[in-house]
Amino acid sequence: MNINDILSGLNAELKKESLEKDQIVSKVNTLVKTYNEVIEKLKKPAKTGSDNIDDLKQEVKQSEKKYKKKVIDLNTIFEIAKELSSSLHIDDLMKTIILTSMGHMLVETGVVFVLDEKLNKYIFRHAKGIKEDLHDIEFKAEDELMKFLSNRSKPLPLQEILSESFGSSHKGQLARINCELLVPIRIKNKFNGILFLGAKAGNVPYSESNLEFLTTLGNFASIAIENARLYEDIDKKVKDLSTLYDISKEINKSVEMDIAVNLMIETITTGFGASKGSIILFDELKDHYRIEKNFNITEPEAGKYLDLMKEGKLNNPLNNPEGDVLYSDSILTNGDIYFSVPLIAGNKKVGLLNIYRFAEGITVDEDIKKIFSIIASQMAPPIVLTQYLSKRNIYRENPFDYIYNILNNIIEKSKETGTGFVVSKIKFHAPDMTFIKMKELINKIKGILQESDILIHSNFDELMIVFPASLKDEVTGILDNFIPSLTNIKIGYMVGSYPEDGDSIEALLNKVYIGAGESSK
Amino acid sequence: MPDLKVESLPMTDVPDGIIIQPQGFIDTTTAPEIEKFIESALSQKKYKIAVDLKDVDFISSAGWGVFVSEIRDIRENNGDLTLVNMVPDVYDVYELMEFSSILKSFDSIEDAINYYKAI
Repeated sequence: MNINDILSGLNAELKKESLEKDQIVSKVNTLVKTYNEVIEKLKKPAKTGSDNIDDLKQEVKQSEKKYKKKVIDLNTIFEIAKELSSSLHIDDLMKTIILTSMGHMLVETGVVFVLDEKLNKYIFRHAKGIKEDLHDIEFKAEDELMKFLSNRSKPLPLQEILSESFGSSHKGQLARINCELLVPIRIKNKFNGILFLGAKAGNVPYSESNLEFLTTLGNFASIAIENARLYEDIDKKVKDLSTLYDISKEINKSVEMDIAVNLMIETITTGFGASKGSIILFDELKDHYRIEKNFNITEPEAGKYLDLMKEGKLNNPLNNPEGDVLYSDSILTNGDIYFSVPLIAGNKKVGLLNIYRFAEGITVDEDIKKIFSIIASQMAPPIVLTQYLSKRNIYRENPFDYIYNILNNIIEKSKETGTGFVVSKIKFHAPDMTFIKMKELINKIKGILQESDILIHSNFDELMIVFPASLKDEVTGILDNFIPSLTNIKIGYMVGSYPEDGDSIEALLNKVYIGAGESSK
Repeated sequence: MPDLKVESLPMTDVPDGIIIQPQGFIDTTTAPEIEKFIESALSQKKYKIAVDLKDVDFISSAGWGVFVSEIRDIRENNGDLTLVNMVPDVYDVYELMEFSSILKSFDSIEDAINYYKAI
């Protein structure tokens, strides 16, 4: 054994001793602490049995309260799930979500924004507790805030948002919304909206249980939005087809080119969002396309022949024998697009329906192309027919024949029963009259008619009604009561009665058509 | 048809007051019905609203939400919305969910009217 071995042995002994000393000191300290605690306890008066029972009662009360609150939470979740799965209207759903959150957590304000998939923006849908109009506020899907929220499933307090780099840029908007808590409305990867809640009454912070409740609510709301979107999509398609069916029936009935073209423009502008364009017809004699009518554009003016379709210029419908919709989103001028739908009947070129702009929110997609292909297929045949009739000046059925036949029948019945009847011609005028408005008006007029009354003739701006077994005063009374209920429309009417005003159809028609009738408003 | 009937009555001696009397359940389906009555009262500038709940057996969170959501506007116009004659089950929830911290309640219409006369 050398001196080094002896020294390292001594070192090890010393370390061991020092460790043991530390352990002893630590043990002593623990003993002192325990002793002090015991002394403190001994100083306090001892709890009696009744104190312990009171404590227990308090604990039971708290647990019961907690339990009851949880039951209310679950009941509310159950009720809202039931409600959300039974409604398909986003606005109603959002209103329910807001009211439930506000009522469940005593929050005085709630605002909801929902993703508009076409605009790719979160737009204002509903607010409670805030009087200010919030429609001008919107959040683009690509905003940092929205990207941030899209990755969160749990509600976030306002402070957390404001502490982010993008927070300050939304501070003003969030203040107007009175936001204290942002609840993402999302399920899986689909971020469908945001519920902004204000502070709880008395500025009590949101509890963990509140946040859990809101997370579940956000998930339910997201599923409900998805369902409602699917429903709205189907509903819109059904409505589109129904409008298309109604108007194509009218277009097919019309033998006047002007009426047919106006109906077409009305169809595509009011029903399908075209906001700017032209109906261009093919002139067989000149073998060229000519602008028949423009809407919301002035140049090139109607009547002008076009060389636009020359080969190589934009998309060339002449090289499009299949009649597909040609679309180019290359900007023409001022943001206009080129959306051209060939009008083809059989294998005959009829013309083009050119649209240069759609209303905001309409995206040119496969659906809109299909809809416009259907519109074009409905428009082309009546155009060919009207062109054919006007070129060959073919005899058309006298429109009065129909009226004559009906009036003849009524006169015969009147003679059989010994009762008279009243005929009224109603003419209406509104500066912005459209086919849809005209149909609404006719429906309103139908609403004041008896089952036995007959609407025998209706034009774009006039109609004729026969009131069997009625007196002239009764009819004028009905019409005079009805007319003041209409707004933004001028109505004039004439009445003639059989047999007082004439015992022949000609005499009656003379009264109501030429203006010799009794009343005119 | 919703399981809720609502009527409104003028409040004696309180010209800008109104008593709303719902009857039935106030849940997510029927809450809009009572909301309409409150909104109508507000549009007539009647900001002192007593909701008589003697015939209401249940109020869901959406129903409470209707009352809470209007309270800010009402109080900004020197009015108040109070709940009167709550049945024990409804009162239990009112207490449990701490609605008492935001909505006043009274045991009788007379008490509510006296309160409105004083404010």
